Amino acid sequence: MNYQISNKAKKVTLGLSAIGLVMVVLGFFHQKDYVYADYVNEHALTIRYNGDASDEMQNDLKIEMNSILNSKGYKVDFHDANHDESHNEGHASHGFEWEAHIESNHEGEHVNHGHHEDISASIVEMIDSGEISFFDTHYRRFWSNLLVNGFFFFGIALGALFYLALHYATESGWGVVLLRIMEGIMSAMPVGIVVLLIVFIAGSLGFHHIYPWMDSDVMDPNSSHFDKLIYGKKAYLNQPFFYLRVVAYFATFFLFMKWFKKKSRQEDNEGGTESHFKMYRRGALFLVFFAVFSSTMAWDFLMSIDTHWFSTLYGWYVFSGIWLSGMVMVMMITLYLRKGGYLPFVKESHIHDVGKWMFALSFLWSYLWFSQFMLIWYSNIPEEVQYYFSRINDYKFIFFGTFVINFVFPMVFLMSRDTKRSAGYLIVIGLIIFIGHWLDVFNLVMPGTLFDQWNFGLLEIGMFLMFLGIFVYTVLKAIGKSPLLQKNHPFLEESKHHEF
Amino acid sequence: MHKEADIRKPLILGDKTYRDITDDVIRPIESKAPRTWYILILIAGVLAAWGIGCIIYLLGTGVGVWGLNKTVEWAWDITNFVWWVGIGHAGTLISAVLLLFRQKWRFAINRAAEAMTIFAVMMAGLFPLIHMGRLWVGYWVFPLPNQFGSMWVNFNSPLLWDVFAISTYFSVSLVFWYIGLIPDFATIRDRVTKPLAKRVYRVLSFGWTGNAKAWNRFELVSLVLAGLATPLVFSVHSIVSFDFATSIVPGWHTTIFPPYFVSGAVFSGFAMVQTLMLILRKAYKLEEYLHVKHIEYMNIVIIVTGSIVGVAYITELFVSWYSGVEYEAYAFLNRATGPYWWAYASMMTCNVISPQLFWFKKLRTSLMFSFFMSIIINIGMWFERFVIIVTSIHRDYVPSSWTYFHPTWVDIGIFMGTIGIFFVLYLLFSRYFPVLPIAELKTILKSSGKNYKENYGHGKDYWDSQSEH
Amino acid sequence: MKEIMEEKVIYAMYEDDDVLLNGAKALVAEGVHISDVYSPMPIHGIDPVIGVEPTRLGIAAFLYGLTGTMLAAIGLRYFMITDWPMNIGGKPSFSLLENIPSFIPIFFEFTVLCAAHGMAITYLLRNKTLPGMPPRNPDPRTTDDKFVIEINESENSKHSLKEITAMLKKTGVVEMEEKVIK
Repeated sequence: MNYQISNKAKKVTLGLSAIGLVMVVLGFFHQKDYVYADYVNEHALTIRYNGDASDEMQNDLKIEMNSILNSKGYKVDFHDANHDESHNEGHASHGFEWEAHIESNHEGEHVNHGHHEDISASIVEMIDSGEISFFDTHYRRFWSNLLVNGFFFFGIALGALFYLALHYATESGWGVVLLRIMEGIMSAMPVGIVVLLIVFIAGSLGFHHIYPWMDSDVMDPNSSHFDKLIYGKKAYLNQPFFYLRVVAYFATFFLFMKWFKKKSRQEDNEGGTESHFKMYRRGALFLVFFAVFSSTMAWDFLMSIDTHWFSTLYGWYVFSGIWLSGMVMVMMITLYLRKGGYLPFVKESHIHDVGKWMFALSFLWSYLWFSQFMLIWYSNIPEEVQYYFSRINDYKFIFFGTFVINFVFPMVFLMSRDTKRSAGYLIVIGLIIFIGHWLDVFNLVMPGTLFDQWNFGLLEIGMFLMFLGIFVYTVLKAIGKSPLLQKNHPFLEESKHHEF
Repeated sequence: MHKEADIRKPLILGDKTYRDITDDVIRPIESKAPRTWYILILIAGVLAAWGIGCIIYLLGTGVGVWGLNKTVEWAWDITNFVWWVGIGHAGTLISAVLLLFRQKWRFAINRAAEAMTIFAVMMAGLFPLIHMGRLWVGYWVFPLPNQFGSMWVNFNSPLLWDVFAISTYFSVSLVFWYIGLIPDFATIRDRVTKPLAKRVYRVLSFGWTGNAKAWNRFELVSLVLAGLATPLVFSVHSIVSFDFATSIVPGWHTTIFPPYFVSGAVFSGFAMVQTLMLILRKAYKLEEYLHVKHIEYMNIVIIVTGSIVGVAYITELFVSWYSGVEYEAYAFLNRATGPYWWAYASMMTCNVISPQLFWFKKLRTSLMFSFFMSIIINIGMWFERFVIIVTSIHRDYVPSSWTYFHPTWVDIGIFMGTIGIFFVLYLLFSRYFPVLPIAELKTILKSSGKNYKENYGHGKDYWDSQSEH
Repeated sequence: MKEIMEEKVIYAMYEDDDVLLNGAKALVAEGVHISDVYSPMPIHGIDPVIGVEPTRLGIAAFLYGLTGTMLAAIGLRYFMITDWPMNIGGKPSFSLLENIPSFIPIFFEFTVLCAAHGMAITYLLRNKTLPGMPPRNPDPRTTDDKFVIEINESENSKHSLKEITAMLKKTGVVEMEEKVIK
């Protein structure tokens, strides 16, 4: 049976990405570069900034604060508080530290006021909330979000490809009726590849500093930004080798994806078992590549953001998330097509089995999350634990929340047999886990790129919706290109009569 | 009735009926033991007695009779412990994980593998126990009232987690195994004629009747126990790995340890199953139930887990350099090129390189080669634990205390003794217990028996003409 | 009293599980109530035919597991937080939540321990399989290669035993036996 993407589905997916795009554009101009404030007393506070701010920007900020305070009937005086001599040697760094003194414009009237306003505290609050801040000229939030979504959606396609290869390599029978859906999902791999390539190349060109090791200053022993630890990793973290690996990953995955699709169509046309056994062997070969690349890819794309930090488990942890997100996507697309009546051969027991995979992989993910977290937490070695320090200090809610969503929800709601057979339940739980794993990638990226200056708003939601729309559209389009059933698969009968 | 794809090889060869399955499995129990059985149990018994003697000597004299020193305070004791626990992982993996994955070939090996698990875990549990030294005051671990008030054991300690993990694993595996055995004991009970045997099996079979409700419960209990045992298998070896990984010793503290230990455990466990089953099928003439295809499946599991272990070795090695932590880097450099290079080299050869030979279909379907490899892997996995444990601590932060570990005859004696005890138990099991799950084999006869498969699809020997690539 | 308890039972023996399954379906279609089936291995698909309800042991296991988790949580909180707090690796156990990562392994193990053993014991009790219990299968061959249907007279008021016997004969029975059970 053939499926054609319906007009409604087209409208919904493309509409979703259009709405997302609008949100991204709106959010794009609200990216902030925070300054920090410490409360001293009612009339004084200190203001710090560690980044790179030109004199002009500094003046603008002073003028802005002055006008805010003027409107409230105060005036402010700024003094340079940076008495550190070393900062003045060589070329000046553009960070600053000011002491700000606030006085009332109307000394006499002030006394008569009934209530007493702590103006200093309210300024600190405005600075903390980002109301008073620079505009982020590096667009860090934009680039970080691009990386989050690029990786997340690339991971889904890769997860589907991995599962397809696994299905062939293990000579599984039950899921044959779902293989075309997996093929469709993995076909959307280029979406992620393009986005990731844009992020990497932009990094190389200096548009963003997500990957500190791409910065030539960091690697230059004569520079004031020289970082000895990162320099020590130069043999691995250098741009030529990095791009060589990136090309190797993308080319391998892409070619395998194309090959599997081609071969399964060939099987449709020619019959016999020759294509099947070829795919069986090629599936095993893919797993060999995947075993190495899934880890190194996670180190390259994500772990190297927190360049100082390292964890041997990292690759496997990221892989479990990829696999699970892929399975959730398989579930959602299957339920959607089944509802439209396109999959008469997919029975409840198939859905049940995909549900079991979601349940089991949620457990696997939680197990790896816990293993990595607990071991680092327990041994408390500074160079390792700083990774979780920043996550717990600045991302507490979202960091632990992600774990709760991705562990507790599937565990409680997918344990029973009935929920794994009910489309309604599965859609709700699937969506929650899906967002949970998007948040997981968010947690992997943001604390290393935005530190404590993260935000959750139009940009994040918009970018997610935009890519979700594009991805699902691509998947549905790809599914429409081949029949929904691999009619000559040798295990087809087993799968059709799958019952337990 | 659901039929299997006709390119799948049959799992039960020959022209079998339900009666044949019962006969074939029970025959060794009904007939007299062959002379080789007595010879084998005698050898194992001597080894076991020697081991027990060594243990008594150890308990009477003190842990000082081991080759431990101030720097290497853990060596063969914990190596053996981890080795045995690791071996003990295959049984439950086969009975639980493969059950969840609906792998029918597991029925040829699950009973014997579970028995192996239980005996291996018993051997593992022995080591921490004798390591306690004065066993007769072992009750001190309980919070008994004393002049300081009752004190609790430290529940934050991975060693205590291990106590919980191993005992839970042992008892749950035992229950899982026994629940599967009950219907088979009933089959024996209803067949044997000797009065004593009849009485014994009558007690062992708990009065099993095999009515519909009982089978209904049986299947669900098996499934739920499998669902519980699967995370349990993961947790047990993860917790064993926590013994090392929660520490701050370079070479021990690495986050990949939990899944990597689990994979290594399955790897070594399957090797041991392979060793035992290859002998058992021959001795008990079970070649039609456990044939080349089963061996091949097991070898595939061995390649997969061996490769995962290999990836983990290389990851550790790479990250020790990548971390930029000099102690970390040195620990691994020392491991590979220091005085214990030979142990590291044996581990790498046995565990990572040699299993790759199984990529060749000729080799993975060769029974002799599989047997040879299973021994190699068992040795390799012992070395892995030895390498992890000893090479990480034999050179600590103070070079003046760097040493080398030499095992004493007591170390060796106890290790050999546990192998002896293990084989005594295993030989007893194979003599008096059904070594294949009789009832469960009957459930797959119609879908995977050769005589049944010949009657549908492409028919006779189609699978052989197809699967050769 | 004794005479009231006596009742007639038919045991119909089959050589094949599929034949039995079809026979059972035919009998049930005629309105015969089958009280039990004895077989050497599980017969898939028999439960809905003869009206065996799905077992609730799974729910029991869940509840036992939950109990285990609670007990472990209460216990560890008392041992390590309330009664004898310890400072380990700079991580003082001042609250259950702060120290939870190092309690999770035991929570988990204890949960599994309680769930598995609780369920296993319930299973043995419900099946009436305990050490020393007498076997109650009608024929010793039902644990080997024979399959038996048990039909009680008292549960079948619609048909006489003769009618049932006649029906059974058409379903491929190899042996039939009428017994009086006290």
